Amino acid sequence: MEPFIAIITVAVIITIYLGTYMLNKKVPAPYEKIDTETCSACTNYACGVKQQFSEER
Amino acid sequence: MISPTVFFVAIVSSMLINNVVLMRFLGVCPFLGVSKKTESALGMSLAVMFVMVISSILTYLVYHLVLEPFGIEYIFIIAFILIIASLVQLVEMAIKKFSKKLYKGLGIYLPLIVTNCAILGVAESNIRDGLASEYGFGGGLQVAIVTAFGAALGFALIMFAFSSIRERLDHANVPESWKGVPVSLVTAGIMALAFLGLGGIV
Repeated sequence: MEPFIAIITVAVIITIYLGTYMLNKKVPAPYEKIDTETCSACTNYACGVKQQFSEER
Repeated sequence: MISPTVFFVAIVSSMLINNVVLMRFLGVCPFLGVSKKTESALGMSLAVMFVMVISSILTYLVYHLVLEPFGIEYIFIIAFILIIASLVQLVEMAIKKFSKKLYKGLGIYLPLIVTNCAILGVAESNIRDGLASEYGFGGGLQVAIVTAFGAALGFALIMFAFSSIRERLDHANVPESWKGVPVSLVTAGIMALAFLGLGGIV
């Protein structure tokens, strides 16, 4: 019985996670023209906005 | 009825004496990654504060109302991580909607709050410390909330102090080989030593 309850519990929490994930994906990410060469808002090399701009170039 | 002293001790202890970043070395990734600018550091601290407090409440409830009665405590880490991940999705959604600048400033570190072990660490220590058996179910929940809030305040304090120091260091005459990460790590080490002096107060 215990393993069954554990599986159900994890399944419920995963469903909640997927629900919040889908909701989050529905909200569009803010997009505006920024100069990526001089941008100092983020020093992160993995910045999604920077990657998006480099792909567009 | 829990004495106010318990709450005071919990908040001071989790904020200063057992500071998550400098004393327990949890959440070091955002500590180093998002402390370049004070604005981003404060935004990250607020996001972490929200997630830490809400996740502490939810994990406490899930553990004591679901996992413990059914004897399935062994899945607590999986359950806690999923709860934290769900909360982070909600926070990301709110930040996307209300603060575009903060969304850009936080960058990849926003979804990475999920892997911020400070949040999981605080949730886990609330369970491990046996708050429910010491103060009862309701009392333990109150102490857990205060502890999580104190830990988040401690995280915010360190983030603010460290980002302020890093902003000053940008204009300081630092030797070329020490610029960037090396001088930041030395600064973090000195801060940790300073916080070590607070040990034993409570």
